[in-house]
Amino acid sequence: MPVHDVGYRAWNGQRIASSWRWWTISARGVALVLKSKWIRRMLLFAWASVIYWAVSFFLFENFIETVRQGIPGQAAMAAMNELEGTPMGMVAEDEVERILARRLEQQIPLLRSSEAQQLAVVLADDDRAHSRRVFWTLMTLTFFRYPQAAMMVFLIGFIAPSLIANDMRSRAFLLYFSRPIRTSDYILGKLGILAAFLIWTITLPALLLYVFGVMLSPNVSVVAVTWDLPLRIVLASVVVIIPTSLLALALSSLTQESRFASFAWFAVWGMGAGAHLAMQGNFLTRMLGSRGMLDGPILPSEDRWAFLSLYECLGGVQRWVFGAEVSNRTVLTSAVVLLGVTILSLLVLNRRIRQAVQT
Amino acid sequence: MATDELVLLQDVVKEFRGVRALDGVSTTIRPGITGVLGPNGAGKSTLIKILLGLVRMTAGTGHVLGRTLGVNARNIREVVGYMPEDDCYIPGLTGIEVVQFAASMSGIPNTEALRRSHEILDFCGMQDQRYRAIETYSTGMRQKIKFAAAIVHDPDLLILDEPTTGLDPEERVALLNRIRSLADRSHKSVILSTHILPDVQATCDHVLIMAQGQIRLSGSLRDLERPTESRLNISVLSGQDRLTSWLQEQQIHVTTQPNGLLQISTGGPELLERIWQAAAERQVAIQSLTPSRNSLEEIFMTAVKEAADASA
Repeated sequence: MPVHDVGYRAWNGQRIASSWRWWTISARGVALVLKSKWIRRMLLFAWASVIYWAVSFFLFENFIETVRQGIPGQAAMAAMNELEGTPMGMVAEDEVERILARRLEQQIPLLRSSEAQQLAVVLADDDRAHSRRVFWTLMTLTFFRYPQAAMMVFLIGFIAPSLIANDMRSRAFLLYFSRPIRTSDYILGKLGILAAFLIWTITLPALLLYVFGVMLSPNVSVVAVTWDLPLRIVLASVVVIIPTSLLALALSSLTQESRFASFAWFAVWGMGAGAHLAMQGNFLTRMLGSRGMLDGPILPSEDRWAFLSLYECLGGVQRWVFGAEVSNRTVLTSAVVLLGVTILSLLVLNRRIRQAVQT
Repeated sequence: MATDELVLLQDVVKEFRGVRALDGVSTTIRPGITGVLGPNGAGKSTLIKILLGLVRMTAGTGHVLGRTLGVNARNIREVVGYMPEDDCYIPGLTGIEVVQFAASMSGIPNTEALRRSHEILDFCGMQDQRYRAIETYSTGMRQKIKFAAAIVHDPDLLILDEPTTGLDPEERVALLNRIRSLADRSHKSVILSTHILPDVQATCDHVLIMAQGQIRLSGSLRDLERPTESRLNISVLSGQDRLTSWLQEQQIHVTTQPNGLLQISTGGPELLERIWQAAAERQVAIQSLTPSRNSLEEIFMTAVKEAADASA
């Protein structure tokens, strides 16, 4: 046996199962993306909104604790305290809801008018469990819809365009496909990279938000009312991750220049949102309103133009996932659009990758 | 399929939008180092991609290491290592990461893949440069990384496409020695596609010459380059002009080779005696007189010319 031999030696170890080769692509891709300090900063920043939202949970839970459970009309009494000297019998029910809504808005800055009104209706009935349910759902949905959705668009816009475009430009396809790798392994591997970052950006912060919410609540019984929220968070994340990641990868596969794919990605979101607002006919109203776009509801229950915007389609299905009020037509239209985007993206990816390998 | 047949192709046809890249290719590749030669557009790259299962055949059948082409593409790539001609790398990775990634994709567990990659890079003569980003590599260093990535999973068959491109003479010899050592000591079989005929002469046991999508010639290099009895090479130390004049006077066809050798058509033992006699009379110092061998260059040129004539 040689003391030192840098000659070729055979390798007879046990190989891992071929069904897990995609994981190698994902793991290497994630490690490569994390080499960028800007991406690392964005990933940290993605968690910042958790604190702001968690404070809202705390404020709301404290607010409803002021309404004593089990005494009918106590919420209304609390509201009427504001109406100095007004006899109880003279206050209309909608007036009580209005006052409650105003107080909710004042105490919880994240709560918008439409949502505060929705909550006030429930609170006026003294249904504390239901009001918790409505609030937690609304807040988690807004968390998905606004800060995390924005982070998702930017993060994917930075990461995804180069994932396949660079492989095409540097002919790295040959490095992948001269190995026992199938087209589906490659797509799954690249999807895994984006999924990992989206789970970090959307799912984990939302789950952490839920945990913070429970921890900051004065009453632990909130868990009994909201136990299914983590499952809905996971499902809502899947709704976001699959179509958006596949779309981003499909755009990346259409070009060797990642900047074109990046431009196309942002154009899809920008133009979709623009077209949706324009067709709704309230573009100027919403843009120039006293509180801008935040005045409107998260999603109208009926949105016949949702199909124009990927963002609205995601919102429609997510709203259904979280059990919020939304029309069946909106959900169905949104789901069909997302399914269409997913299938079309897969077809494009499959075709482009096969073409690239064969040339 | 016999056990000593690495690759068996029968009537393989590949058409790209009506253009025949491979036209009824039938051949057998046996263990050892096989050089695949051919001008641009001969179909070498298409043949390699078919062997790797990257491109589907339009017609025909084939086996690689006992695995059926078009059915077990992934199984084939488990046991075949491929070094492409083109630069192919993942920007941002270091040399060691590229090789480790290649090993992992071939199924070697991650930690073992790293150990194995270092081992292979040592074998390839890659020192500390392995920790540098691959974009900063010279062409020669990238060739080394590609070679390392091709062999890291210990394949039985190695397909090398222009492996010595961009290497300096010293590195070229070192790489050819590595290829030869893989075949001789580790019993790996190699298919070497190249334009560089001396590389084939230096390393290959068998040669396969392609032109216009067909295999024009195949066989062992030794057989193809066998000495021919119809020609003689004469190496002259002094008095080459006098010998040339005498040969022309005798109406013997004589040509001067690029390397300075005189080449004549032999006319049997009598002519040899007459040459020695003439050399002695004219004070010509003959260094050697040997039967001429077919050079690979001649064989290649003849095969390509025949293919061109046949298609004209």
